[in-house]
Amino acid sequence: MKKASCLNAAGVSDSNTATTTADASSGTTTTSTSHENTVALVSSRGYRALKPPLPYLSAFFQALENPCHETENRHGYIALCVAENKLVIDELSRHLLSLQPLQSQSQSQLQSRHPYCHAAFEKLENYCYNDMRGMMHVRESVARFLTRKFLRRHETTNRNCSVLGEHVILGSGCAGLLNGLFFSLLEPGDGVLIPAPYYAAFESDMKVVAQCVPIGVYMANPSQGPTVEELERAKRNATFKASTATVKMLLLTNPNNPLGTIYSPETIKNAIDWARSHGMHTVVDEIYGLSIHDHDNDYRDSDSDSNKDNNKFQSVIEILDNQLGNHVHFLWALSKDFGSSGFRVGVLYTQNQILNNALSNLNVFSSVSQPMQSVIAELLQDDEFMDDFLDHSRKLLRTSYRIVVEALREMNIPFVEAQAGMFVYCDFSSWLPMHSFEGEAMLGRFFQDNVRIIMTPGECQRDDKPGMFRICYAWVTPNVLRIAMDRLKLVALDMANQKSGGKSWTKPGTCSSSSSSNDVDNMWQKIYY
Amino acid sequence: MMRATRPAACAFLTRSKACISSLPTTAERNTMPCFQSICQSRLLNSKISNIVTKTATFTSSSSSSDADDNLLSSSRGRNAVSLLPVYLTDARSVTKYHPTEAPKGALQLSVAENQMLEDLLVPALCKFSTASTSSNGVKGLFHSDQIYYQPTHGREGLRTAMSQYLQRILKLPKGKSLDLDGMVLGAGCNAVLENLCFCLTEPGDAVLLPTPYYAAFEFDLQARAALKIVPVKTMEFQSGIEASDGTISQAMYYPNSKSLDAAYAKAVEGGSKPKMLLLSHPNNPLGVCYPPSVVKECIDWARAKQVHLVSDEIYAGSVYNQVNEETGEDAFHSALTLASTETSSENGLGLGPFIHFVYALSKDFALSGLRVGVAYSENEEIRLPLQKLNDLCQISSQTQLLVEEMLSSASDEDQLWATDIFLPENNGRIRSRSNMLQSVLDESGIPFLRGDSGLFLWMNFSEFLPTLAEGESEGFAESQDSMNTRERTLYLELTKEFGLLFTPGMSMRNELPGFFRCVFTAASDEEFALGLERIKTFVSAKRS
Repeated sequence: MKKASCLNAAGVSDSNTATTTADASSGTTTTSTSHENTVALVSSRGYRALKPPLPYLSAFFQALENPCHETENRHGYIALCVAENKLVIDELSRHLLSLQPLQSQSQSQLQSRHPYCHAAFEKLENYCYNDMRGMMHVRESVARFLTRKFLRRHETTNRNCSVLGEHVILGSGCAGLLNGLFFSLLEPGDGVLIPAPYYAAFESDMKVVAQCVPIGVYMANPSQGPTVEELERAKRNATFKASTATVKMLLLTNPNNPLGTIYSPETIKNAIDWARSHGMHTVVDEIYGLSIHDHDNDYRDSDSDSNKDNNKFQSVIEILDNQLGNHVHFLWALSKDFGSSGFRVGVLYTQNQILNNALSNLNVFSSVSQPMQSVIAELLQDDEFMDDFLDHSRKLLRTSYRIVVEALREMNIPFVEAQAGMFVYCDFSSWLPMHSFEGEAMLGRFFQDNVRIIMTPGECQRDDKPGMFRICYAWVTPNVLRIAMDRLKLVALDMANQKSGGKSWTKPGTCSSSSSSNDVDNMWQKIYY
Repeated sequence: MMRATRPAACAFLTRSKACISSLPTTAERNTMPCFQSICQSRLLNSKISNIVTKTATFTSSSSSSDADDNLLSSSRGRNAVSLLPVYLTDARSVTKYHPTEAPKGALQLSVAENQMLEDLLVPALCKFSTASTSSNGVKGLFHSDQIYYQPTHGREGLRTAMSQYLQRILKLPKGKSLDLDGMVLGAGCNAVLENLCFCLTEPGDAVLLPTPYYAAFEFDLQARAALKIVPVKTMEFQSGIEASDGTISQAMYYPNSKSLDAAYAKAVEGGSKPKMLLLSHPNNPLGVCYPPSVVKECIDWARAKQVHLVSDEIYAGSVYNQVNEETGEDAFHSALTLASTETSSENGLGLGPFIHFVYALSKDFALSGLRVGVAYSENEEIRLPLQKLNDLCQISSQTQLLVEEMLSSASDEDQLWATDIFLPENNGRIRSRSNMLQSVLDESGIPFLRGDSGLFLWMNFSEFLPTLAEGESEGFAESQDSMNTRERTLYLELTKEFGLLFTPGMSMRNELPGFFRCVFTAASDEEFALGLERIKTFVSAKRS
């Protein structure tokens, strides 16, 4: 805490930043520096970047040090806080390793070819300066993929009916692209409306460099997305609370994280119409767009009308019939649907030419390695593999999803039924020792220390109701997931016993020492792993 | 969804004991309700917004007055479009040389790329891309554990390989090694340099840059980091060392404490706080290494003034004349070596908080398309923010593996491919091109700096400038407008009439007009030979 005071002296007026910063840096900065020195050593924006993007990150690292394994280490930590599909990585790895050299090479080139070398690594052009938005042939290949999977049109010669490569920009992950969007479309201090609860790291994505302000949109029914009235109210409230902020952007995540639900085309359309009417930009983040797991249909079967109804998810590209205009921007990445977050490949589709020009320069700060671009282009062009892979992925997601929801039902824990993504949003409020975010933090600690399970707490996703937790089920194997659910069931059992005994559990230690033998107090000490 | 966080799993693991305690306590969490945070940030942001707006106007923004445009993007977005050097527009409008389609087109001698390495690079990289990287012995870059998130500041394996590589080319003090935790790998030099600026400076702070300097620094330092560039003019502080024949000697370009003091004062006068000194060493565009005494003086000055010195040593592996002919000593001395002090710690060089370093593979390995840059600092205060900011510009894990293999690959004779085979061969090729250009310049009587490093020579074409307009005086007294106009006239003549596309010195804020940088590695053998002929043609045409 010594550090915190010195940070404040350094001119950091955001007490959030200061306190969290102190925590984050306490490990590496062992010597305390006098604040004049600190001022010279690091800037205030440097300090801003110190705030951990996710408050529960340290718990996750703890989990990584001693991870649960179904046979080797059954008592270890289970991280259910990472919205990643690790279930499919092996399949992707096998495929990429098996890719054979292209056959169109000349004989001399074939002779020089090293066995197993991927074609992407043989082309000199991949090693030289190129367009910072991505190499054109790669952007075209991505555009074709977006046309097929998001616009859902077969290849066509009509320019209006397909996504154009020149409108596609590749960046170092969605974070790099989001940063470019915030920076190029908004002024510092401008507000961004985000339906809450929302992805915890959006705040850091928009604050650190672009200095924009997240504004939660609170809704009667978050799983269906915001109504125009709710958007209007959030915008009005934000303007009212701080007269300097101009709300200039709406950021939608569809399918939604953390809810796993899909917004209807009408919701999206109405929200965009509303935003457009206010001259606001809308960014639609569809990073989970190909991880729809609630039915067996694949998009390629969806051309017939009968199947189309089954497919609840429609991309904004399809909803707007590819007419995004200057104010709607689409985001996607390989990180989630393909579990390949190490590739660092994000995709932005925008028809706004000024933004495009700005990014052609700014993206020098977050461009994608070109051999990797080539690999991606080849991958995305392989329609058969893509469709099989995504089918397979959906099946695996469904299996794990069922493991979680069956356990939740058994425990009488309410949850939001998910159609997409790799998470379930659960209401553990009946387990709270006290109905507040302090209580939620205590329950989170209890899960971490006594149950050795890390889930994403609702507060850091800006939920307004305490006791909500997001369970990410595809980062661990189904067997480890079952171990986690079994642990939670034991907790549920004790909870039920206590409730039936008319006892309530409160803060540890506050249940007076006279009743120290009482079950309630014991639960705080009991081990469930 | 952890997308933006890059949990930095492996690297953080080693330090995760420190991180464990960083889960906010209940009390802290209660101080973070949504709206409180929003309102606070707003105050902070509006404050910063003012500063940013001020600095944005410093750059000559040609932002369109079209009201529609203003709705489609922000002022800083439009600024990003207009920040590029003006001469690029001229350069882009010129027909480029093609042996059959445009034999009279302009030869590209202005982009600092090395195009002479395909035969060396491509087979080697193909081999490295298939090197075994998995425990089960399957070859290739795409094993499951490599598809997933990597540490935000780079895989430990690559940081280790990079550290050993830098140890060799920078000739770091024996017995010392770089601190791996102080190294950050990001998508290119621009990206890691910008992140350093973010961590070390406030918007509107001044960065001192000795002239002439790499033109794109202006974009890198202004576009988002919102710094104010204050050129360090060196010549008037290096009086008395003009070469005997009236040409400008190399030493005239060396910064010293006097010229740095003057630039510092100028920054303060302009209302900015000078926070950073950026050195390009070996220097671009001069094509020479600064002597160790010059770098040492800069280091001492920076430490005394508490100004951050960033040494950009992106050409450190392209020192093709490694021994200085006059002194008989090594030509290149890294700022990291010169700034190194006695330290009790096992890791690190004892640089202290004010010395920083950037490097990339774009020049020495001609791998600009890989987008691999390195920042190094022993300033512990910026360590975590630097790693965090790097999540906006991480390198694909497969590219990291490829580079790791490239930098550490050794032959049976324990020869390292990178430093024992590739770089010596590459330097031989660069030297040969440099020598060819130098002989032509010598023959033609054009003054130039005897380069020892980099991919270019710094040439003085001032005798070919149009004559001064009435009322203009020669030398430093000439008005900036007149310098710009005269040099642009000569530049257009060179490109349009003689097919020679050089980088004009004014775009690099050179103090005098008529100087050009000629990149001698971007052309094919045939194009280069033609370029030399065209230089001769130009000189004889102009002198006749």
